[in-house]
Amino acid sequence: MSTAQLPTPTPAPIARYRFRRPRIASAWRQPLAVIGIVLAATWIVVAILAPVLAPDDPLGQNAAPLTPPGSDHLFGTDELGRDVLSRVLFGARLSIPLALLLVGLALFVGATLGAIAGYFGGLIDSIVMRGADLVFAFPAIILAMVVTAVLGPSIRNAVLALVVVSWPAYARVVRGLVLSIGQTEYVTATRLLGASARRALVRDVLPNVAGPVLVLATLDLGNAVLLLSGLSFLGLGAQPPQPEWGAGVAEGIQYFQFWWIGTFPGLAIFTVVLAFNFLGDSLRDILDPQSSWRAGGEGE
Amino acid sequence: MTLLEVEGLRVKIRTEGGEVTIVDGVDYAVEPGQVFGVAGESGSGKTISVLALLRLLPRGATTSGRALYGGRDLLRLSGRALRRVRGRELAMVFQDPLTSLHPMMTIGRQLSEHVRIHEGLSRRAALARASELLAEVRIPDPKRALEAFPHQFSGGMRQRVAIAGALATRPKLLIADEPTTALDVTVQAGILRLLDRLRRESGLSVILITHDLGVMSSIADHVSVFYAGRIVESGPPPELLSAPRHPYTRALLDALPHPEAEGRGELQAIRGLPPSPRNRPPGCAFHPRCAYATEASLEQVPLLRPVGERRLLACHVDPFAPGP
Amino acid sequence: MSLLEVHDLEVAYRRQGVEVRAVVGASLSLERGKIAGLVGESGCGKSSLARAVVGLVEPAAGEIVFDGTALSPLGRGARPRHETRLQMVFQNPYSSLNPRRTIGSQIGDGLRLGGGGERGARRRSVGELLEQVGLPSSAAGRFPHQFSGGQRQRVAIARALSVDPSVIVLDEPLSSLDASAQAQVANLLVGLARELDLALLLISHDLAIVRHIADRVFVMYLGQIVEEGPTREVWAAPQHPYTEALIAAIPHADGSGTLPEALPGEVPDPASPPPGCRFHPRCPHVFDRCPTEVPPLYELGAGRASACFLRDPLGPVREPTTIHEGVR
Repeated sequence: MSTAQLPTPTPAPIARYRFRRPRIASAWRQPLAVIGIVLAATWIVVAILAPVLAPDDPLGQNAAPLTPPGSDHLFGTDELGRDVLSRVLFGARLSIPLALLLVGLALFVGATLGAIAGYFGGLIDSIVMRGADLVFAFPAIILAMVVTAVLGPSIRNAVLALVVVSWPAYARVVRGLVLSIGQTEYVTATRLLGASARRALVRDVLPNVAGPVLVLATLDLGNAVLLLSGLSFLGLGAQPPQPEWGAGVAEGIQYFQFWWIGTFPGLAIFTVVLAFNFLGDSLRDILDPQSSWRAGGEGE
Repeated sequence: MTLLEVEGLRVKIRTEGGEVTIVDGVDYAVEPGQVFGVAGESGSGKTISVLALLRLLPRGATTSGRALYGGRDLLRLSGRALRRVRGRELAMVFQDPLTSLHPMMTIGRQLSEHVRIHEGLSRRAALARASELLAEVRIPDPKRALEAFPHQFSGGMRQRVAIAGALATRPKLLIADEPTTALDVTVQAGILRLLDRLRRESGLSVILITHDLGVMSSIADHVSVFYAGRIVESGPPPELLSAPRHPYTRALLDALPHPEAEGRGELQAIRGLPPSPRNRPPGCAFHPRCAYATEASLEQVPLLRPVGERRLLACHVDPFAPGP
Repeated sequence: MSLLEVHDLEVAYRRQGVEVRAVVGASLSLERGKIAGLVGESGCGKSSLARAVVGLVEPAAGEIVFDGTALSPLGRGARPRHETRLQMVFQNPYSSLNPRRTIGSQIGDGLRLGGGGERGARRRSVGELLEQVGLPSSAAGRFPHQFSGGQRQRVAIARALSVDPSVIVLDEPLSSLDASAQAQVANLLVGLARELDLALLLISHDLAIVRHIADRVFVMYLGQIVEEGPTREVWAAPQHPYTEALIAAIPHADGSGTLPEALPGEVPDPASPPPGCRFHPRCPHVFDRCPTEVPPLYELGAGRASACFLRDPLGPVREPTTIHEGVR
């Protein structure tokens, strides 16, 4: 059983593992993701091009009031003779940027507080998280109503109020991730190489927090649109004559028999919320290595 | 009479990247009272080839071939017949015993419900039987153990409880997937002794899946070595492990630190990595890592053929054939 | 002088309000160019010891002297540079590398952080470090998920090497790897210890691999070191019943068909250890002294030691013997 005459083994090449990064293409396999992307993209385009797309001035009282939908006015006109289609299209210019701003602010405040709480722990952690619990204890819309009532009804104050009710979700998620990722072996290894805790936080922890927070923010965009419209519906947000969707629905309720006044802004809210929810869900699937492309991967 | 006969078993799994063949034509037979060892590295298809018998495969998997058990083909059974065989005659034990134990139920309740469903015993009789089962797997103080929850046991004791649960229906065949891998050696030895006793005393057949050739050597009656979804060599452990014929089996053994080796020689690692099921090499799947590969190894899949008594080998070259 | 010395180390933590002493007075020392193995069953405190040795947990008592100075536990700030020469490699190569950073960037951390001064001259590039652990330097731009388990463990070792360490503590570095990858990494560790004159502490439950590559071995049971000595001698003639049982429990892949010996009982809960010798409830040689007195680690000469009354130089049985009721 001599092996002397056999070729000497050469070092084997490093395995060419297929690079399986999340690909956008895989999102197309999920019909809901496609619907989400198409709807969200449409609304963003509408928000940008509203002046071009709108057939009429959203504030102009140029037509006969309460005209039902027809060839002149696709969505009809409201009680003041304004074109409902134009008001819905211009509404996107208000709701979508405000939702982005609101989520951005809530994310900034919440993520910062959450990271501080998770990093320092102890008393600071307790204070921040009890604050978050306090906010969570109230139904979001009620607390937002209280805040706007105190600050005075305006769209700006509505946004501020919603930041107050929205930040704790981010704080909680970021704190949890900072705590759990801070415990991982790769962070410990970086620390042992001589990195300070702060450096490890910035280089190793926060980049891993970004994905889940992005998912949360996307899901939250729909929620933000809904809450903003809700406040406006209650008269605490956008003030007349701003073409806000929630306010539009409120108007529609006063003129219930003229269904088109409230239905179309309502549909706008519905589709935007749906779009961001679908988008957030599929983003989660793409970013989560366990759920989508891992299945059946390595054989056993 | 043969208890289980598997012929031409193939398992394919549909994934995003297309259909992947995990198990690629496997034949074997398990005799009553035998411990049948399935060895191989992770990714070799050894676990899937056995889960396929119980039809416990992930979604998108398709199976072909035959698995004859008591005159019936397990791969074609359906509905009630499948459930009856799976629950009563074939039982399974996993690497992590917690996967088969309910965390919120006492051991007594879990075991006795199992027994009641299958044997139609009264509550009291079922509890008595559960206590018997615990005694059978050598759980100290079985009466008290009936009241305990799974988390109150150590890893080794949990595995014993899981085995007791598997034995509740008096199965003919126990499938054990890496049952000792998560355990310490001292505890592992106890579980191996338990399996050995069950085989001797009640004629239980065991399919033992493990990557640990030491475990194989101590308990298996027959070992099949898996590589890239196929059996490359099989035979009784005394011959197979002392004189392996397939270059892969030999390489696996050379990679182990030898207990009796005096010198501090380097361990002989196998070069390269096991192939992913997505791109298995043509011909003999081991050829890129094999020092003995020839033209034939690159082109043709070697068939498993008998070499000597009770031994099978799938290698074109057979470099370790005993000399004339 | 030894590079790393651990004196009477105690590690304790609280579990559901109860203090658990995971390590109870362990002492060991590591020498340059040598591999020391620390073996024991799960729950024996070997991982707690490993974490305390590199300063990840503050010891409840005892001290760790690294390169002549007492090691301070890791706080929030950056570790003093000379202390970064004490490194650790973890069990799971899937969780010890950041999934979102290239391996080059992670190995580079050590080069960036540990650079400068006299050690600047000895700094190596990421590519050289990768080649040192047997990976091509071109692999630096890849992410951890593109490597197999064994390759990841090499990357983790390269990262530890990036700060030019003198001691590396390896906590079960081989246990998640297949046999072949295990052999490769084991060979690599032996090579590194010899070439770079590193002191390695290899913590493992796999006695076969420890026997193969360690120069010295420490056997741990329930928080205490019960036997130590040169690996070969310990294996040939264990001086503690627990070591004996551990060795007898290893299954051999020789086809002999012999079942390994089981050790009766289980490792007791470290929160309520048995009195006297902690091993006595499972020991086949238990006698009247065992449940009442705690055996010290008896020096047996030739670098060997055992914490068993059977090795008491004054004889196992002391006069006058007291008879305890209820003892086997």
